[in-house]
Amino acid sequence: MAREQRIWRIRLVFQIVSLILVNSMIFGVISFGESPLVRDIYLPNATTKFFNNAPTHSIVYKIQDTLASEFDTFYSDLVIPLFIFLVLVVLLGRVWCAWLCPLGLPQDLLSLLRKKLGIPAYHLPRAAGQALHATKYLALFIIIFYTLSLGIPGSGLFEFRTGLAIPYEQLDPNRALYVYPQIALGLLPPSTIVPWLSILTTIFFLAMCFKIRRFWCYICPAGALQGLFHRQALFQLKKDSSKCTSCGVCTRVCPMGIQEVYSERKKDKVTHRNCTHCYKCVECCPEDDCLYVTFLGRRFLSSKSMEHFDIEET
Amino acid sequence: MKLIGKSKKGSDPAKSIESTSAQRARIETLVAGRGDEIIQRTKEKISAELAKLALLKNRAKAMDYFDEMAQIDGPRAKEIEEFKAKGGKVIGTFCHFVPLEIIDASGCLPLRLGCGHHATVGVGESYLGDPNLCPLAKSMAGCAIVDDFPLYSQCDYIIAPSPCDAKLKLGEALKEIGPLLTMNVPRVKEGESIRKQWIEEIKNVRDALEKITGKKIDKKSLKRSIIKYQKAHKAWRTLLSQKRKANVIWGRDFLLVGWVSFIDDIERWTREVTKLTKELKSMASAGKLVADKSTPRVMLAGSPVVWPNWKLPNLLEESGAIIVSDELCSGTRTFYDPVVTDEWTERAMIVAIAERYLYPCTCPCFSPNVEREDNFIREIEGSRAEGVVFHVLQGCHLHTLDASRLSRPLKNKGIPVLTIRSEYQDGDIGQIKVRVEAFLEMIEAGEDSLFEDV
Ligand code: SF4
Ligand code: SF4
Ligand code: SF4
Ligand code: SF4
Ligand code: SF4
Repeated sequence: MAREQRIWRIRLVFQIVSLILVNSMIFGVISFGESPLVRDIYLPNATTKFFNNAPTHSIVYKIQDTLASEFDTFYSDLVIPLFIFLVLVVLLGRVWCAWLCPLGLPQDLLSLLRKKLGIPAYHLPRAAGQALHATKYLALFIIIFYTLSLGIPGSGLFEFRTGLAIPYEQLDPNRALYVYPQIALGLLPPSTIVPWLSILTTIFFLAMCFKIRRFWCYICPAGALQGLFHRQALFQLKKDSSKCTSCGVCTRVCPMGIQEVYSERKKDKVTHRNCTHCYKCVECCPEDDCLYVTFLGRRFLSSKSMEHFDIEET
Repeated sequence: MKLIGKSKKGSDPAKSIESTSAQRARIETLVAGRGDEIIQRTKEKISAELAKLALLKNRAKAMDYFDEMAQIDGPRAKEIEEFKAKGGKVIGTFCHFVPLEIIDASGCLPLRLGCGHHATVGVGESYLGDPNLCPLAKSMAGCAIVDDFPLYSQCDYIIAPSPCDAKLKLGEALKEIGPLLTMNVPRVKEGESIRKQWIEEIKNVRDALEKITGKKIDKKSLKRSIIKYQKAHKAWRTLLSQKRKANVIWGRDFLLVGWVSFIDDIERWTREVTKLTKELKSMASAGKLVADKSTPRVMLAGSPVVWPNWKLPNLLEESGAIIVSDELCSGTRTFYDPVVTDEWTERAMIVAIAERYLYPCTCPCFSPNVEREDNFIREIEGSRAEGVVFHVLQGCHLHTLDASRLSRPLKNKGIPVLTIRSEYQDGDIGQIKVRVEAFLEMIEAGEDSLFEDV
């Protein structure tokens, strides 16, 4: 297998399997989706519940839902889901993003299509990338602030509770992206309504992610929420600076525009809060064991020089 | 190189301050009919060096190929003539900053200009007009102005990066006698504007080549060339790893292999390097070493050591050391870094090439230069070198300054360092020999550096 594809291909398999098993439960586990046991599984990534009977949903949904409606119970409903969220993020970090997210897969497929068509990617200028990365935290803040206000009587926003209680769901590109295929497959009734805003964001999503790698992940609030904790996760991206030639390959191939992996010259931990754990940098770094990934401190994936691989023929 | 009299309108040669015929006359007075003698002396020097190499102990059979290629009037010269007869264009290059992949993709042949030849230093010096310039630049100038100089007179065009004053002004001088493209090498790597500027420089090279051949460089040929050089890189790295495992190749032989890549067909060179590595591997497992384990291990650093200027490598290895590693742009660094791209669009390939020739480069022309510092440590540790010898060409400020700058931390780490400042002439051999022998004795005694640098 070509050096520059050795991780990517395995990741694609993971993404597809997780779409089917974790997010959609398409294959016959329908009743599982109704079980109270899984009622509180709120995944850290931008999981969709628009799959018929899908057992899981995004924590971002749960947060909005609870904050908007449960002032009286002091949001106690959030305790368990948030605890599960923390455990899941500490367990896998943002592996949830690059390997298991139903909204990551279409972005990667769009990039693949673009590559196949020979259309160059647009690389966001550093400042623009940084600004977008900041946007996702702003989005997260607004979502929390807004829904919190909704839940507090006297905030004057009470009437929105019926109209726009879960604002992000109106925008979520997941919705149009997955509802229409399911209607086509007969998994959802044709009468299912997709908010027009979501249709618009989906079109925006498709257009942007085609030209800019993982564009949505720059602004995704679920990614922002994970980013707050994932530097403490069991999965860590690490670097042996003594082996680094400063070639800059890791920065160029990083879909999230992260420069810190390249510029770090002292510490070995280079997991950045914006890093989605896609390991593109590990795959492409041309120096043996310079970048590597650890789980519980144990190295299980390392960068390899071209010495160890067949070089792809044209 | 032949004087190009008919410079077409809009083509590259700069408007000369002197007329072409005046240039011609000046060069003729400088060379003063000594052209043939200079060429003869160059060939003799090469034969003498090859004869020395032939006597080396336990030398790999596969080195025969590289010996053959080391003769500038040998089979390679004939091949290049044939290539030109079929309409091919030969592109002379100054050094490490010229994107070989792009030249190859254009269907042209990259050829590193000669700059290790002792016999051309004199004319080169008079031509450039500065006795204080480094001999490497003088030699290169000499090779370019002597008519019918083997190999190098075949160049149709020169690509001239300007990392240092010597190369900048050399490019300017050679522009007077033929078409030449100057590349503006940034001296500081940081920042987006530098990156963009360098990508434009690389695109300039592409555009210039397209103009020469009249053909667009398409995506397919660019990809093919990148892969070709990735294979060369792979072969080179495999050789490096093998070399580190046991003393199976002399430093001089290794440097020669690197030099041959400057003039050779890259695919054939890759095959020959692979063959050599295989032989070295079986030598290692058979315990057939060129020097036993107790031989002092030195690392060669500093100014390029270019064939056939084997003065310092000879002195080191004849005095009982083995050059186990180097950080020379004419040696280990040759194909050390690969072009890596995960997308094969034209834009992505050009950017990948541009970054490969800038960011990991350890040339002393850059500041700051952590790349070079880190590379030093990597080379020393990886090869278990016991001492570092800085080769500093007289007149080369960059390497002189870096030798002082880098010696200090190395000495603080307890690594013995010796700085040898030298020219191409043989006059100082006796004196250098004394210093080298004392240095090796010190390594063997395991002492710290007692020497002050000259
Ligand atoms: S950042 Fe991207 S991969 Fe992560 S949850 Fe959001 S959409 Fe999914
Ligand atoms: S830093 Fe590496 S693993 Fe993280 S997003 Fe960038 S390329 Fe992927
Ligand atoms: S790709 Fe590897 S060697 Fe290159 S800069 Fe990044 S970490 Fe360093
Ligand atoms: S030291 Fe730098 S400028 Fe001199 S030949 Fe090497 S790469 Fe070129
Ligand atoms: S040896 Fe030094 S002065 Fe001479 S060309 Fe190379 S960098 Fe320039």
